[in-house]
Parts: sequence; C-alpha cells; structure tokens
Amino acid sequence: MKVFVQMWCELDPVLSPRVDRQKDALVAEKGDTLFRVSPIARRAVADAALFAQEIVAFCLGDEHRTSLRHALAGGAHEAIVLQCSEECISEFAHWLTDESMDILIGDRMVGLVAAQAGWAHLAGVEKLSIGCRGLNAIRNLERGNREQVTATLPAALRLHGGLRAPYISKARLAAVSEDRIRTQVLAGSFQPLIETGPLQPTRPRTKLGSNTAPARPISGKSRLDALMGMSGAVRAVKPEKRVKSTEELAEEFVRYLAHHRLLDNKGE
Amino acid sequence: MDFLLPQREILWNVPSAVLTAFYISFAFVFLWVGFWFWKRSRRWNVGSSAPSGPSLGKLAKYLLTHERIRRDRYAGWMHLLIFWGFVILFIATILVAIQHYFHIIFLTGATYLVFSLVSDLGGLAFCVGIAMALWRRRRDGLSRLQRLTSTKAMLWLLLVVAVSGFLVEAARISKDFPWFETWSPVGYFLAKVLALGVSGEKTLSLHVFLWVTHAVAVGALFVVVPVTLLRHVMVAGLSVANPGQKLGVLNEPSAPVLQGVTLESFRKRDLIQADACLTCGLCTEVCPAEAAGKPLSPRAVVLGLREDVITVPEDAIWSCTTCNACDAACPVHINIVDKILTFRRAMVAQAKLSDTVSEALESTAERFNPFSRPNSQRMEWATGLSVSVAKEDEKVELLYWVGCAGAFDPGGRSVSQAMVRILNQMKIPYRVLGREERCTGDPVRRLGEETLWKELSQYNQDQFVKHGVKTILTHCPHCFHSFKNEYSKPMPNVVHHSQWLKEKLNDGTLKLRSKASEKLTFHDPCYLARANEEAEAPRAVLRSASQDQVEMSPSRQNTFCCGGGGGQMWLDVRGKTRVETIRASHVEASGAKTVATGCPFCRVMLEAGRSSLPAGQGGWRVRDLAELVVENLGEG
Repeated sequence: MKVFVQMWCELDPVLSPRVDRQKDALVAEKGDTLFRVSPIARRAVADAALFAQEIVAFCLGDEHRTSLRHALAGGAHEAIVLQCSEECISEFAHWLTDESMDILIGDRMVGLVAAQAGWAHLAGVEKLSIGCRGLNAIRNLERGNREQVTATLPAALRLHGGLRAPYISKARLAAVSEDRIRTQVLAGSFQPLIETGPLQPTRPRTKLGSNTAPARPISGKSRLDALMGMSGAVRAVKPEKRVKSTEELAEEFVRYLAHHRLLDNKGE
Repeated sequence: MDFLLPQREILWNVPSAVLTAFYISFAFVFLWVGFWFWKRSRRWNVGSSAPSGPSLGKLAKYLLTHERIRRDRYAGWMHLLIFWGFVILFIATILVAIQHYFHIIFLTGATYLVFSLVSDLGGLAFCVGIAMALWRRRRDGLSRLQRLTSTKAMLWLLLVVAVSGFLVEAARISKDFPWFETWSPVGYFLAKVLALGVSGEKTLSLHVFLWVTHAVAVGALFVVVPVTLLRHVMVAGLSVANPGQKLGVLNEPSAPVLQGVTLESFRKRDLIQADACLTCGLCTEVCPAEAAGKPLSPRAVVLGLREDVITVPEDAIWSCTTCNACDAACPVHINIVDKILTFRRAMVAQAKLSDTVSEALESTAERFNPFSRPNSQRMEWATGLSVSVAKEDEKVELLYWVGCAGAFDPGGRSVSQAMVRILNQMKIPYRVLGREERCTGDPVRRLGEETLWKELSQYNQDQFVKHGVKTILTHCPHCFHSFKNEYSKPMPNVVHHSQWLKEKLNDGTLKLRSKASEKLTFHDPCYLARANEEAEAPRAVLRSASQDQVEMSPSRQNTFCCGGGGGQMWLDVRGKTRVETIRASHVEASGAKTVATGCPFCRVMLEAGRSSLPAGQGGWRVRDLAELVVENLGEG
C-alpha cells in the first residue's frame, strides 16, 4: 500500500495579517509567524501511518518545504518537493500513476487529479481503513451526519477540516535530516500556489503604551473565510482598491483624533 | 582470664570446626551480596551518567542530621536509633576483628569498659528502633506503609540478630560473672537471668549454641539484604550522595526520547534511586493527584522502574502536577518528578497526547504562548494603561516580565495591571518586552517538550542580552523558577514580585494608605515556597496589607498544590475529586474572607476550586498580592 500525502503551509487562522501595499505582500504583526504547517496534512500522514507500507509526502513548490520535515517526523518514508503548477494536473496524475500510487490524500486539488485520472474521490473523510474490498472510509457530511463508504483503489481523498492533528515534537523534527527531501520537476511551468483570498486592505494597528488603540475583534472563522473561503486555490490577487464609505472615513477620523489624544475619555 | 584486667577473649568457647564452617559460609554470603551488587551496577550503568559526581559531604550531613527523615518525628527517632545502634555495633565488630586478626591488643582496661558500655547501649538502641519499626507495621498501623511479609520478616531477623548477640554476651558473662562486665549492663542483666536456669558446663554448650544462632542470623541477614528493604543500606547512600539538581529543577535528558521509554532513557542516578526506594509511601501520601483520587502513585512509578516495569498508565503520567511534594518528602532524595517527565517526553515524541495538550504545545511552538492567541496580542492587557515597552536595542535596568498568563488570562491580566499601577505610582523606571516576550517554556517543559523549552529559553536569554537587562521582576513563580534555576547562566538578577514588594514596603518607598480589616490567608505557590523556599516575603506583604491573617493547613514549604502546575491548566485527568477543590476546602477551613496568592495559575485554579465547593461554601475571594496592594494604595 503506497500512500501519497500532500503537505502544505497555510496562514495561521488566529493571526490578523495585513497587506503591505508597498511590497504587495502579506505581513504578520511583530511577534507573529504568518504560516504554519497545515494540521490536516499532518493528520493525513498520521492516518496513513496506521495502514500504509510506504508513505510519500510531497508539496507543491519550495515555499511549502518546511511541511515536509513535519511529514517525515510524523512517519512519512519519503519527501518530495514537486515543481509543478496548478495547470499541470494531468502531468501530476501521470506521475502518481507511474509511482504506483494507491491512495492520494491532499487538499482541494485532489478532486481535479481524481477526475483527470478516473480514480475514486472522497471528501470530508474522518476515518480510514483498508478492507478486502478496497478502502473503507467514514465521511463527515456536516450537521452530525456521517456515512460509511467503500471505494476502489486508487483513490484520492480529502480529510475533514475539523480533524485534530497530532503534535509533532521538536525533537522529532530536529531528528529529520534535510537530505531526505528531494526535488522533482514535473512538466509545465511552475508558479507557486498561494492560498490567499480577498484580504482586508488594512486593519487598525494596536498602539502600545499610553496611546493604545483598541484592535477590532474579528472571529477566527470570519477571518479564515475572508482569507481562504474560495471554491478552489487561486493565485494571489491584488486587493482591489475600495472606495471608503462616509462611516468608515468618520471612524478613521475618530481613530486619528484618539491617537493624537484629541478626544477625552468619553470619546467626545 | 585475668580478673583484674578488664578484657575478654575473642571468639572464646567457639570450636574451631564451627569457626571454619562460619568462615566458609560467610565467604559464600559475601559472594552472593557482591554478585547482586555487580548485577545491579550493570543495570545502573545502562543509564547515562549524571553530569556531577557524588558528594560525600551531602551524605555525611544527611547521616548526621537525618534532615528529611526527622520530618516524621516517629520515623525520625526510629531510624536514628536503628542507624546509630547499627553503626555502633558495626564499629564494635570491626574493633574486635582488628584486635583478633591483627593481634593489636587495645580493648583492655578502661578502653574495654567504655567499649562494653557503648556497644551495649548501641545494641539496646538498635533493639528499641526495630521494635518501633515493628510496632509501626502492625495490622492497624500506618496505612501508607506497604504490608510486605518480606519486610516484616526482615525486621524480625534484625531483632533476632540483636537479641541473640546480647544472649551470647550473657552466656559468656554467666560463666564467671567478672566484676567489670557490669559495664555491659544489658548483657549482665541477661546473664543474671540465664544463671537462674543454666549453670556449669551447660553454660558453655548454651554459649556455643547461641553463638551459632547469632552467626546464622547474621549470615541470613546478609543474604536477604539485596532482596528486601535492607538494600537501602547499600544503595540509599548513593542516592543521597547524588541527589541531582535543586528541588524543582528538572534534569536535562541525556538524549531525546523519540520512541518508547527504555532503561536507556533514564540516567544512572534514576536507576540507583529506584533501588534505593524505601517503599515508605511518603511521596504518595503528600501527592495532590493521589489525594484527588487520580490514578497516579509516585511510589508505583519508582517501584515499577526498579522491577523493570517501564510502563506507566497514560492517565497516571498526565496526573502529575509537578508540584515536587513527592521529591521534597522522599527521605532518600529520589527525583520522582524527573522520572515522570521521562515518560511524558516519550508520550510527546510519540504524539500520544490529549487534544488540549496538543493544542497548548502547538500554540507555544507556533505562537509562543500556550493560550492559542497571537503573540502580537501580548500587550492587549495594557489597554488604557501607560506601559513602557522596551524599544529595539534599548538598555533595560528593570524588566517587568509579564508572562503568558499575565498577558492572556483574564485573572492574570488583572495581576499585570496591578503591578503596572504600582510601578507607575512609584515612578520606577521599568520596561516590558511587549511582543518580543515569549513563553519562558516552563509549561511545555513540564508537559515533556524539552526541545521547545530549549528554543524558547535561548530566545528569551538572547532578548535579555540584547537589552542588557539587569533585573527581571515577575509575578509568576513558574517564570521566576525557570529564570532563576533552569535557564543557563549567566542570567540577570531575578525577583518575584512578593520579594520586590516586601523590599519596597520595608524601605518605605511603597506606602499603603490603609489596611484591610478582613481575614486574609495566603496560598503558597509550589514553585515559590517549596522550590525556592520563599514563604516569608508574601507574608510580610500581607502583614502590611491586612490586620488579620490566618495560616492555611498545609502551608509554606509543605504547601498543597492548587492543581494547575505541570501543564494541568491544559489537562483534565478525572479523579474522585479535583485538586483545586481540595485546596479550596483548605481555604474554607481557614475561615479567611480573602485568599491571597502569588501566582496567576494558582489564582485561576483557586477560583475554579471555589466555584466547585458545595452550595453555601466559597464565600471568599481570590486575589494576587499585587491586587491587594493596589486595593490599599488608595487613589494614586
């Protein structure tokens, strides 16, 4: 049983990153680390380790390389950085077929690969096991509904987003040698995938000391939705320049006055 | 025998055939003991070596003072009598052997009289001590002691050795009743009793019989040393002479534990300590997890290691609050918390963790705090306050270390705010690190993530160096303990806020306008009172803040854990009750209206304990020392 697991880094959902307009890039606040290794990807390696004889972890692009260390520390046998663009789905499917893949676990892309190669495709998978008739899986259909399905191999899977990932200890990570990660170029031009949605163009910065301006609380989910809530992975899009409403301009003006201590404590 | 000169013939009346048999059998006995020692030392050598060598000074001090054993008065006296009785008898035997085998005659005259008297008193003390030990192990005796037949049999054997020794002496004296043998009061008295029933030639036969009995008993005693509690005579000394780090300081593992725990995962010292265990149960008696009915028994962890059972139930491993009460109580200085941590490290490496622990570790690794909040929000607690954040490369004389609880936990935030109010009112120049601050690593280290702790400690130390920090002031005893005892040296001067407040109150720079009239008590945080022996400073602050204080039981160095240490803030192992509920009941019993503490974690746990008390109880409040000081500062 040979399982391929896609690894990737993603924006830490609890952070409030902002866009540096000059550099046209996402910037984390001081003290924060912008990206983390996707917990779902780590969970995929842990699940695969329960039944697979061989686990090959791969990532698409060098910017996800860190995640491969986590995969190796989590029990993957091989780690590959694939230089492959989103357009080269068919090359990617061919490569997997050549590698005698049985199961592919990854993000939204696996649906496209499965469609291209004609494999079984399961999404929202919570539990996995291998039976005599192929792959047995329990899928989470949301709202408390689950279904048990059997699929033939090869199959492409997407794990359910609510699954907990095992913690990979730093000692295990330190024990992983960088030499175990190799790079492979697939046909087609390479452009890195960046999972960014329409980002909020700005947010009030937290001022320290006596000039503190309160940060606007935003729930993690709504921020995630704003950042990543799209049907598929997309290229980085330049945030659209938006015309501010009168209320927003007024709010900004009040903030300006508060910042320069031109308002009393009652906000008048 | 010269009746005028006090002395005695050594090995008098013992036939040469008996003596030959004695020498041959004792050669085998010593071979057995040596074999056991060799076998065990091979096992000890599987563990990695401890960095520091044994300290004979520590051992000598321990033996002379019986420091830890005397905490239990009965056990202290019992062990003192047995130990010194044994030492005296042992020295007496050595002196007799020197005189006999090296023909150096010195046990004569006055020396012999003193020798006889001291030996007899030593033997008597030994018998009394053994009798006390047997009395303690009676059926309705102390419940924490293990009722092992082997231990009881060993105690009876010790008594037989001592009594048969006296009887041999009595039989020898009863032959002629020399005048100077009155200096052996016990032997002389027993000789008088013997003389009532035995006389003449029968005395000689009885003497031989008793001598053989005594020799057999002594031989049997040596044989059972390795397989009974008596092994501590040989091993406990090694444990005491090499107690490891200061109480509460974790020993760094020699190598990262990546797979399951094996003997190699432990240090040589750990394996020696396991053999030194007295099974006295003091560790289990003081364990808060055990008191709460959780599945942890510190004694079982140590005994398991001794018997090569290197598996501990997961729930037991995660029940430990690392309060170090067991380590402090152990009479032979066994580092039990260290051993539990070895198991935790293996669990972390194998990712056998509860969701909450995983999340806390992951958050600390990614966001540098265990509260799953962005590190950039570290200064939210200071909203509306004037707080001086250190600028890049700014030199800092006094650094106020807020800590993760002080920055993110609502209760902890009010402590940080109170501290800043005090600092501002006193116009003391200070700085906080703000977003540059990261977790000290204490919770993750005690959850078993050693490598992450190293990374965090290195980062924080780099910050101290960058800012040239002279003094670190913190209100968190866990941070205080880490900086003071676990971070590699050199470190800036570290002060807990209770010490700092006491100093400022004493030198008059901090003045309180009023004193509260309500009854106050103080809950000693484990890492302040027990690990750093600081119980006086918080009380001095309380005396300035209140007119009426009361002590909880237990308190000071014997404090009872709040249930929040060792990463328990992120754990929930079920027991019959909760540790915090037990501590809250102690507060309730004290009758105090306010319980003060000096730790943000204790503050959270005591609040939780208060709310879990039965209806009608818990009519008291929990405050940090700094909050109490601010309450009495008046309008500044």
